[in-house]
Amino acid sequence: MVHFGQGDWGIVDSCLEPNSKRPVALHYLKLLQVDAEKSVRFVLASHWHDDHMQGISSVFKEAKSALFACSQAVRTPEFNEILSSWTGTRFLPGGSGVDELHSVMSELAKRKADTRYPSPVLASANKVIWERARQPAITVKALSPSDAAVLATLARLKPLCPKNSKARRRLLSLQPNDTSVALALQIGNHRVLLGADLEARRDSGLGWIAVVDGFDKNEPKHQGFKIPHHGSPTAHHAGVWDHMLTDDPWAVTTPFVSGNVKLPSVADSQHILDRTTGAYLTAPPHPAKFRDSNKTVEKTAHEATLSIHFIPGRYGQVRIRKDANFVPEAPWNVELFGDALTMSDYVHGTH
Amino acid sequence: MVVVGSFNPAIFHPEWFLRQKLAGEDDVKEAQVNVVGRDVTDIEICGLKVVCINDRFSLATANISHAAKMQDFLLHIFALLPHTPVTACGINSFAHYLIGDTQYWNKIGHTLVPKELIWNGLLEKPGMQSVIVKGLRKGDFPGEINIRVEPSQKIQPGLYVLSNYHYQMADAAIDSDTTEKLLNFLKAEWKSALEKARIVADEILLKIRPDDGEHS
Amino acid sequence: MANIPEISTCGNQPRWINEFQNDQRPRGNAGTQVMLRSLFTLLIKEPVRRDGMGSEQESAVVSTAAPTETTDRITTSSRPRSVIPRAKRLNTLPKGRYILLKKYEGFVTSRGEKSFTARLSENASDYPVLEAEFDLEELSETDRSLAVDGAALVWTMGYRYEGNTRKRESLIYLRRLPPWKDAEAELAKKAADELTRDILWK
Repeated sequence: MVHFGQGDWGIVDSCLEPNSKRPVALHYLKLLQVDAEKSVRFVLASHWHDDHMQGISSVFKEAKSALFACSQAVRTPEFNEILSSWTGTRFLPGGSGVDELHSVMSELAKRKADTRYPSPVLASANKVIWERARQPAITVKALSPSDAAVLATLARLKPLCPKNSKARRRLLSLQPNDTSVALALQIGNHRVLLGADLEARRDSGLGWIAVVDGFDKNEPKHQGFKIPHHGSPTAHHAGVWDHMLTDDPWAVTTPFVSGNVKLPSVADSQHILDRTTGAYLTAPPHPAKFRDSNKTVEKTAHEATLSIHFIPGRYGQVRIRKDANFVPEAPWNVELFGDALTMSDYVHGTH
Repeated sequence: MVVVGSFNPAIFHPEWFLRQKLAGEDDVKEAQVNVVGRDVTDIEICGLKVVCINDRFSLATANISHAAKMQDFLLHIFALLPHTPVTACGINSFAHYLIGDTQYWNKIGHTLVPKELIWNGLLEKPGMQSVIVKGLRKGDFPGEINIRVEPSQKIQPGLYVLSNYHYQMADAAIDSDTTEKLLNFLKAEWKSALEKARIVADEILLKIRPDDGEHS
Repeated sequence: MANIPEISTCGNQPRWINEFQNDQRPRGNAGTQVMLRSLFTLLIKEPVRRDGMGSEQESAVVSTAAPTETTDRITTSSRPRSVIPRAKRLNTLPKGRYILLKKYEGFVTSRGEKSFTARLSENASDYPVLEAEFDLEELSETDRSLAVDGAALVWTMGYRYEGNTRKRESLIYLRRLPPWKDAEAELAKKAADELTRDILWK
């Protein structure tokens, strides 16, 4: 979430707050007594991975003044094929990125006739998603996906369409994520880079190579970085740090736990710490122990599985603030809530 | 689940389920075949009981773990037989709840069927044997919900709750897409139909409390 | 009363026998039969007769049509009167008793050589969700091929009764959903196109 000052908010992706089970953005705005309906200017879905999409349709439905933005890939027939799979799998339990996508599209379809609602925006490389003229001036610009990235993704989606695959299954998150929308935020004289889940690919037309190649090296650099893809080495590109970020920027990322994959690893975090001293994690990548009020269930579950746990296990927030009127060199104020910690503490095991 | 329509019972041999990949070789070997014929089929396979006569097809299980399997079987069967004329269907779920305390069990009976106004004056020691309540079901597949509550015959003192989701499709002689409607009904209402008996029981046990003299 | 020979099929002993009978009142457990009729009343709107204690044993009456006329003798001088065979009930419920302790539903997120991982929850609104890794040996040989990314599954734990024996059971069921048919996929695509057609993207 980003507060641009003067009551203008932007929401990028969504996850759930574990206690209320509401989208964390709405939960947070309610705590601050901010009216989501009037104050949220845009809701952006950077990509359709389940862990980034939970509750985004609820956020968008409530943020009635917000425009919706997502990758330009959604405007293709191939994406509609994926969307169509919703009708055949919606009776299966559990939500998914496709369910959220369908819900958002339904809301957009409802709003289309009413000119009071802002038009949705298709994000592509170097396209402005939202801007505000009054001071401090704001520009939210997409840095991806490139046209090549969209084509690459659509080619991978084709076999998964109902017509081709025939199998009635949940669509898992596509890897690598080529159509993820990375954002460059300009707030007055300050700049922040939000990396979404964009990865570094060998192909120069894709991922971070394309973004770095397209970045004007004469432009001011970014003071803060939301590290992409949970700090995974697949999303690391030295060019981003060398050309797009200031020296010692603040950096923050969220954890990811699935099976044996726990991101960022300690090694990944150490590489990040080699680049900046101000790196933070919203929570360590640890699952929560499985427990059940019925001890027989607990015992049986442990006997029947090789491993079992709850995810996400830990939950926290990193809040990074600065007065927009301050000079770019002025420090940012970092606050940690819940299970959030510094990457240094994570690496050294002091948490 | 029971589907009313026009069927060919002879189809539903265990080998057919094997060919449709609904059952494995071992399932077929372990299947219990009581009768498979032109007019009636009665088999047990994969923990499910398949009974079919010319105008009625039923699939049942005594094990709630098999509920998803039942849905899969039904979706497969009627997807494979799209031209089967079906006119109505019902999803039935039932459960037995151990009440434990006879006084509480009696209180439930007295609350659901009060005796003071009518029955005490007519009968000696009247007791509730069964209550059936019908309600409407709205939504994309409107119909009826029928709930029956009785003393349990399996566990005593216990409560037995049966829920029936009835869906009357249009006249099969006129509509050619009744099977499509059935499939959509199965996808949309299956989960809530299965949970209804439990929801009703939970509500009864929540609203009629054992401790206090009054109930909310 | 004419007796019809037992129907024998598949070499198995039949469980029910067709009988001609001229007795309108249900035989056997009156309450059970009345309850049967009640079940089918819900389905086919026949009148209910309630004259006994209901039993929750679910069974089907094969024929609920009442005989219009009955005879126990056919003579050449009279027009034969139609008698509708009334069969005894078929038991539509399998035997067995099960106490469910827990049910999770979810889908496979990854599969390895010897194990697979699934994401599961008890209710759709659950959060956090459960992630469990299962040995492929937990599945039957037929089911192992079904454990692929995105496959839906159900995991239940409970007690199964076999006679007087109570067994604790953990059961993983990989769903066998019918494949997409071309017509269905086409309809779904049309619906998606219809939904998104008029959205005015910038």
